[in-house]
Amino acid sequence: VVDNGWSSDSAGVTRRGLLMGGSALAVGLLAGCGAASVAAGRVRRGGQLQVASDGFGTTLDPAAPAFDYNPGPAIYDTLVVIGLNYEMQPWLASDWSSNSAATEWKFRLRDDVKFWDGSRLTSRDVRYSAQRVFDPTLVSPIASVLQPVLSPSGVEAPDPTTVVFRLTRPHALFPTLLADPGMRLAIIPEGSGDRVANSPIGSGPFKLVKFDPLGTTTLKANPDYFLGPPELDELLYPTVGDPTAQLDALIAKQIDATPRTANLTHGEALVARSGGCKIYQCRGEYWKILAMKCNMKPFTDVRVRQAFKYATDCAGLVTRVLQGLGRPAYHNPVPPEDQNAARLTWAYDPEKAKSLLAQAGYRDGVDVTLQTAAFTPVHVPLCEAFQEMAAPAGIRVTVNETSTSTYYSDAFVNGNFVIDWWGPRPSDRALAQFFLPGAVDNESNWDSPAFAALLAGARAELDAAKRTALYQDCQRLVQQESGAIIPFFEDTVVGLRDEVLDYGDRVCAGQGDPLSEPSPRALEIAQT
Amino acid sequence: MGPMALARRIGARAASVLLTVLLASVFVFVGTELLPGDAANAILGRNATPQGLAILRRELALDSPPLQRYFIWLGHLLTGHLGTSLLLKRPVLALLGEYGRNTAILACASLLVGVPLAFAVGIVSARWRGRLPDRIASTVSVLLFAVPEFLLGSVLILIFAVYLRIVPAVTVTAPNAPVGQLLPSLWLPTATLSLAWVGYLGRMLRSSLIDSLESPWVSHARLSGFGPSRVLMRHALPCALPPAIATASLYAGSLLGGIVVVETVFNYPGLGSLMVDAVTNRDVPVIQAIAVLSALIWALLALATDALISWIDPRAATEPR
Repeated sequence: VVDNGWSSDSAGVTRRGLLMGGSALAVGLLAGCGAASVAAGRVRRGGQLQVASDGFGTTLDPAAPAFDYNPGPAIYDTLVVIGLNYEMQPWLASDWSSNSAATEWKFRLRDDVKFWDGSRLTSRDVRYSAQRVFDPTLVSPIASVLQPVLSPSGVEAPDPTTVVFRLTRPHALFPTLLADPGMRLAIIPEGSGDRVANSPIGSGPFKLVKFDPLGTTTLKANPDYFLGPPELDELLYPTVGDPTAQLDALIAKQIDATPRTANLTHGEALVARSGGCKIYQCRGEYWKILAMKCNMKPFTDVRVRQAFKYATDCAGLVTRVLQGLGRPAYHNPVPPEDQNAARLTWAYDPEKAKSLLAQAGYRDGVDVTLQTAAFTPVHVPLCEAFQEMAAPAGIRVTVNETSTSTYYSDAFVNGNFVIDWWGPRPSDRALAQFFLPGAVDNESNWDSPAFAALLAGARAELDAAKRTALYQDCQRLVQQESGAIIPFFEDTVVGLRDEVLDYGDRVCAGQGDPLSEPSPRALEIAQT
Repeated sequence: MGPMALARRIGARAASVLLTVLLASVFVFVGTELLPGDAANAILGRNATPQGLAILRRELALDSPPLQRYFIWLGHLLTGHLGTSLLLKRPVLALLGEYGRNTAILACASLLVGVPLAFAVGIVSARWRGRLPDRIASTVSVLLFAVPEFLLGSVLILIFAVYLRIVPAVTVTAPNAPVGQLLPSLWLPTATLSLAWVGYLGRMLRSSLIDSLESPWVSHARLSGFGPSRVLMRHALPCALPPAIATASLYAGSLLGGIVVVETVFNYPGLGSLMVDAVTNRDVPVIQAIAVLSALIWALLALATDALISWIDPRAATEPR
């Protein structure tokens, strides 16, 4: 199956900080981080870890829409990665700088990175990897994100450790476009595109032994990893597609972890706990969108869109639909930890919604059909909860649940009110990808030249404080006028065998590690 | 029946098998055409742009008219070429081999467990009709048949994999793993598939046994002084067999359907789960191949059942005049 919401670029797995300990199984730590966080003596080196794969991907080509993101981050590396608070951190690139106009970006590469075949990473590999995603036959999801500011000819490799990106338009936060939790801009050796689908050459902490998207994908430790060898010997991704089967496999101790792309529900988490497993849970990052298409009635009127947002009780939905495992987003996809976050709120006010609808000519309320499909256990309950919350405002919602296999080709395309789901992104990326006129993922078809101008201004602003103010204005505009109802950020909830220690940081936002306080309800699960 | 008549009969049956398979292929093709979206849609999902779709459709050869694609496919089928999976980019024949093997193992295991068990249940119930063994068998049978397979599967997982830990809960073995590696994973799916049918088939056999126990020739045997067990096994059972065999063949056929659910619950890499994935992804060559294979198995099963019943009960072979 490919038609899932995660396939584009939201994933990223257990990259560092993944440990096994305790009595039974051997222990491991993926490269790069903190054995210090584990009580001494409990950790043993070596062994294997089995993480269920959701079976959505069918290729290891990171540019392909059907990319198998489950093992992706263990195989590949990117130039930069997203940090705990969405700041950019060095990875394959050790540092970077831009010219004063932010139109030319220079990245210096580490000189100690080797691909699995022993060849050294050079700027030519980076140029090749970046240019490759523009190939229209690959239909790479990252291409549409880069296109507004970069063309393939703008990538240059003046010397082996320097890569230059000449942009078509200024972008002060350009590196955020290169750091992709879904490894969409993974760096592969020059000319290796022909074999990347099944037998790629990566630089990541684990080498591919066998790619089997229907069976078990097997990886073994890369002793030459540039951040040091991982402590696990083997990393396995057995495909267990059905969520119930995943939970069964976990409590029967056949796998060590459920896929992080399939959040456990509150009920499943309790089952896992009572089955002797533990729950790894971290701060909400993933979000759902109820997209009102601005080019289709009744959403052509901004007052209708605002009315629908006032009819959405974001905090109430967190309690009701997520059982507390999340936090309200208030119709803004920029996570509060981001340096440019506006940290807006939005009231639930059915009366105001009613009066806005009346002003827009809908005195007797309005009838709409909300298209949905059960991609996650949250999709349908969210729509049904919205249906109830919106009723007092005179919004009569019919929830139309269709099959997940046809959703994106039919209901999603043809409906005027549709659900979708996405992973976390830094501010610039989130705003550009989902709200720029003409962007592929501008799902509410919001065509706002004012927003485009504001974002272009923010990207061109070199003063950090002024830039942040501009990005915050962008978020206000999105919240006020766009067609995106974004009620909440969901926590990541993964089931782990009790022996797995410190599944930690990488589980969260792809490569970034935005671990913070779990929500109170989650603590309750963790402790009961 | 003369040799000519036999040959004609065999020929007619072979033709009907072919016709069944051909019709199935048409229905499946039309069905997949009617579904909204195609493989290009499925692969691109929400990343679909008109340009992306056009490029991918050309690459997957989905841009020619449906009728043309059907006949190209049919031509390939007749020459033994089943094509390549659109999504997995592997020859469909190889996929069918791997997954078909696993399903065949599961189906055989389930028949090997299920049929003898059902016969035992039927015979015991008929022998002690209305007494305690019959009442227990009857209650348990109805219960097992009434419980949906996914629920039965989950209960078995909880008992045997989670609490007792004597068998694996789900299969995490590669589709092409050696049979030996697959065996431990077979217990629960086999039990799930057979238990539901043991009850049904057992009840079926019981009632036809009871019918034949009340027939004149069985009364005659009884009056001749044979013991009840001998009467049951030697005289009543052979007459009760044909309906039971017909039911058993239905059982074997229904495995094709039941296996879809059971394979999903147990993550078992068989044709059922391959089919589910293929339908989700609009992977038409795979869907077609599995559908044709299923139709072929059904038709051959019906043929084999007829032959078996004719052999046991020659009256069934007489052609109507």
